[in-house]
Amino acid sequence: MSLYRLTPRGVHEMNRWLDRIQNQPSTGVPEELVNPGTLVVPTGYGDIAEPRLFSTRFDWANYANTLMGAATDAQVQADAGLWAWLTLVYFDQICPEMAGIRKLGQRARYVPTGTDYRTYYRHLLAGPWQILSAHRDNPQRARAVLGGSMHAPGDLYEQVASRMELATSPTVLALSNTLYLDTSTGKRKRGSGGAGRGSPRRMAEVLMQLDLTFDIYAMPMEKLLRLLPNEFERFRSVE
Amino acid sequence: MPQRLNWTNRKRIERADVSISLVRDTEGQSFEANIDLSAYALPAECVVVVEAYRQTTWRRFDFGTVAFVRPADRCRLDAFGDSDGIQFRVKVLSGGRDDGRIWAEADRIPVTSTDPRDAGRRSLLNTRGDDLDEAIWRLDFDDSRSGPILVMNNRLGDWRQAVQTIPFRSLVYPELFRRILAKAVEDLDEAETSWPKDWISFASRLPGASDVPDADTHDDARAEWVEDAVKAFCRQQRFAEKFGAVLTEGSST
Repeated sequence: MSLYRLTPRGVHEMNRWLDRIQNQPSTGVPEELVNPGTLVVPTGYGDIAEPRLFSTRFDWANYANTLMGAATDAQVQADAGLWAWLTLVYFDQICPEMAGIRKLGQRARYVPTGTDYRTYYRHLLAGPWQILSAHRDNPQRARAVLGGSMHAPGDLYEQVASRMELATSPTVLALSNTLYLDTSTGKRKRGSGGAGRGSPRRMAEVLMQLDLTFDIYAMPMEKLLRLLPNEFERFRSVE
Repeated sequence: MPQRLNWTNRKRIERADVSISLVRDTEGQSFEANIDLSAYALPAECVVVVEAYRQTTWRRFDFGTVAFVRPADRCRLDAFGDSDGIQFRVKVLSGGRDDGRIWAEADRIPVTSTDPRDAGRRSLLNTRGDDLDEAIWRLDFDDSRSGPILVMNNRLGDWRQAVQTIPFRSLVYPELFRRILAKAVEDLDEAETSWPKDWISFASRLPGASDVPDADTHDDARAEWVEDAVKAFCRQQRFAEKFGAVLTEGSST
């Protein structure tokens, strides 16, 4: 199957459908918004295999990276119709039915908001792809930040992706792995989702403070780790 | 005005000492930077880098050392697609002794236009395209330091052309000017922002503009000054006359 995009009219219809399912949460995705037609047109980028299941956003982002063919990152990033169409293709994973009900989140999670810096990273499919594309030289660096499930990004993602200085920094993503990724399971460490001492929220606050004095983009991760206060001690990896 | 403390000892590089210009050629787009660090007494071995960024697209370019500021290579911006909204940051970093420390920085540097008509001046109003559903435009203050951005609906196709049309300018610019000046007057006391001063300076030079309000001016008087400035702007641009001509042309065809 080719990669498609929704036309502007298609995005409009998608928004109307999302409005409807707020009240009728078990409604299925309309076929005219997925199958080629007047609302769905080819992108010309590449092909997509039959929809598959992804256990983490990291897995999704790696897969998405293989889909875009010769399209440039700038093209893909700006293609709101593509991300809207992919959202509908994977809607069952990013907004799963639980007890017969789909619990819809903020609209920006499903419909890309273009260059609105306040919400663009919240798109459940485009956000992970953008993070991974910024770290294509070493995708493993994004494992912790993209370690959430397809429908639940987690606070580590929110804290890092919402700040461009952090999201683009190889050092910060490597630090996130060191602090919050359990390398034996490949999953986030227990207790790394809270808001208290040593949490991702505190890490982001501390890093934004250090960013005033240190080049957190490129300094060695080990040096940045040493600059963190003691509250992070419980998350430091013991290798 | 509240005194600001600098705990970091990091020096702020003034905008006047950095200029960034875009270069477009058959190979794509790149940028050139002029950086003058002579006034900052920085160690000669410190490393100079320029960063270009927009959302999660980010590139760092090596610009040598304080002793010899020059790019290592051509500074290509192909990863950004179009140049809308790209901003730049100059950093001076410790050169190995205490790696990672920032000695000096200039952030949110906009591109200086290379259009000859803009020689000697820089754009006060940045523009960018975005999907605005059925709305035509929106005014954004992305953050307090970067100033106003006119966001146009990219569903319009060539939205840059749309901005240049007389109907758009006549109908939208006065309201844009009003909102921007109102925000500029409100933010005038912010020491780290330069855009309010730039806009107020622009407004104050319009023929017939009244005296610029100071920090102690009452809110009503500030609002009155904004309205006077909008009127002066409309008179200078002759919006009614131009828009009337467009209407006349439309009715005669």
